[in-house]
Amino acid sequence: MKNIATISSKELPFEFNGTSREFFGIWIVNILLTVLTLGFYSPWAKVRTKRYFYGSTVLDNASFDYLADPKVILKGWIIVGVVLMAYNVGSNMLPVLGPVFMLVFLLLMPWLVVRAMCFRMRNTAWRNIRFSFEKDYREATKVFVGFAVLVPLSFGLLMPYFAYRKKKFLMNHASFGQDQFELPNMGRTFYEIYLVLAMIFFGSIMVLAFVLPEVMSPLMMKVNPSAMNHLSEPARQVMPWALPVVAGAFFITIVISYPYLQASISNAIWNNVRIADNRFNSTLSTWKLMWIYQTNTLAIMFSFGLLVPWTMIRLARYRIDNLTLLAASELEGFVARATQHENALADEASDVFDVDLGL
Amino acid sequence: MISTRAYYYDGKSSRRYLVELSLDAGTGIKITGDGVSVNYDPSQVKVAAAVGSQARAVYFPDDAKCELIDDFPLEDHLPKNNPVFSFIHRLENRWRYLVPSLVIVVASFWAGFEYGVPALARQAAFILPEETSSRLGEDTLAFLDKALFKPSQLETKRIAQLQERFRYMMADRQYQIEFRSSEKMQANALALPSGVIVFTDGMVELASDDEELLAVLAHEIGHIEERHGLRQVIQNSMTAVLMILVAGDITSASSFAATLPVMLMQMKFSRQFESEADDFAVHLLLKQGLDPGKLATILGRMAEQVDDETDNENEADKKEDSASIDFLSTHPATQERIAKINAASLDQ
Repeated sequence: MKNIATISSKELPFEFNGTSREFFGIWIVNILLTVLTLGFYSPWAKVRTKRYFYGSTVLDNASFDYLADPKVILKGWIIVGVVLMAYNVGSNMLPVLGPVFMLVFLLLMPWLVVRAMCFRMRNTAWRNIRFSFEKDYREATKVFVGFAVLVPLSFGLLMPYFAYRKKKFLMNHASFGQDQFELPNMGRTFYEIYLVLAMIFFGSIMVLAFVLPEVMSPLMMKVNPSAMNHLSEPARQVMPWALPVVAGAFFITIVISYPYLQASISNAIWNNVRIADNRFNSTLSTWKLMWIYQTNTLAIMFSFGLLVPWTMIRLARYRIDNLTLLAASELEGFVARATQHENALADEASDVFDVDLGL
Repeated sequence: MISTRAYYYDGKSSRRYLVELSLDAGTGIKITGDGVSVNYDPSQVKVAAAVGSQARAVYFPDDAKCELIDDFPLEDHLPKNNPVFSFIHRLENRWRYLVPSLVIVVASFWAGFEYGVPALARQAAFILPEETSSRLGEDTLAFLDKALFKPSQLETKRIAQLQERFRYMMADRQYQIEFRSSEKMQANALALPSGVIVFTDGMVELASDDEELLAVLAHEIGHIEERHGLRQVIQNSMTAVLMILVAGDITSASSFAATLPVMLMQMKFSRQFESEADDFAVHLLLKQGLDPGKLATILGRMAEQVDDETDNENEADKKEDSASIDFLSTHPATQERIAKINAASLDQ
């Protein structure tokens, strides 16, 4: 489905040139100083890490820039710490406060998301032009409160649509300079993605249900024949396998689904979004991502964490090297907006509460 | 006057200008080339701290930015607005600093887990009201009764007799003693933080006299009085926090990697609790004029019973195993515990 704009476009690959060796130094010094300062260095550590990754991401001979002020992050981080402590102490002394806090948090969620995005976008720049995020609290409330409530009511059927609306909200409110990102309607694509996910789950149940009894039955008979003989014939067929089959299917689904969702959703979004007639091409592969995640996990486990920098660089390299900009013209024409300042509070808050902002 | 090549971005458009940046004591910073010609006062520019080997950047008061193309000693010519970060950048880039950094980090994490976490958790556990600890295991017995235990097969008379002996040892402690039978759990006793101590029938049958059971009871009382249940919960959450610190923003897919060290730590903490309970038992038994050696005897017999089940391995192999997989087990090697208990009882 190439249109005229893409035919005449120029392919500009995103490139990642960070190295594990260099990042190892930043990482270990970050931990050292964080430990020595009892945690107070961690905003500076975060900024240095981000600056390294942004600065190592290159497009058209210019790298990205992370401009956040660690002192602002520290302030937000202290406020979040105080609120969390108040929540912990409060809900322990007066259990009623727990749900109240959760409700307040749910209502604050749209504000937090918008603020976090503003902070992140505003502190990202390329060629000295900053990104920005429009503060649309109304739409944020609709998506992050409205849909969050509707999804369980629809027995999860709205889940893919909710995932789509979240991404659409995040994309369509982001701008580079004065040019806005535009994501077309693609709810259908998300349903297709989640349908495949469901098929992976049920498919693995089928395969396991068929394979497990074949392999395990003789083994079970040998180990504990009396237990097997107690069961009636149909129960003997089904009972012992129900749990391992479902558990195994869950395991397979988790191992595959995370990279699958990452790859397919990233690809779908980047291949459809446009900004001022420029488009993107994203070529992430589920299997390669899965391989990277699994081997990263093993590497971290067997190196007692020392290979964490290597795994971070490796993942960033794969993701960034698979993105290309299809530029409609020279990239000289982006124009900056009037500047404004955001606070880091919301950014930190969403980090702690682990909201997936996945951009 | 010295100068270097740079890219200039005016902050108004994404256009890139190839310029020459020159520094002069008299006229300040001058940027010329590609149709650009601007001057800045050196005291107003902001030099971004160096990160890795990335191009150095200078930010100007009018939102413009320069990115240096060649290596250039910016710090020598412009006001040092971040000497700390020049130092940090040096640390990050030289192996001779990184190796000591690594050693310090590993040592402080080791010390943190070995002394810091247990000591802090102990403090916290004893500051918290008693009821926090006892509330922890409230439903555990009901759960275990469903999942693991069957009613005791012991004679009622025997149970009453044991309860009587135990009551004497407990003095004014308000613990509840329960007896249960279990296929999966043979000779065992466990203490729940709520103040319930469970003996399995296998345990009662394994003991050659009641004093051995009293020794086991003393050990289990140790677990409760030292608030091991609560301390374990606190220590585990502290471990998790420290792990997040190391891992930074590890994605959820790799979070499994963080669970292995946490598991190893839990096992280590659990071994510490066992020896603490042993120490507690030795003291309590001595105070009541009982023989702490009985604890060693019954521990030895429990280990033998386990060994009998795992046959076709010779004695030497077994001993080696119990030593080498020490860091993987929740209880210290039995031989070690017995030796320690015997040493402690001789000391008194």
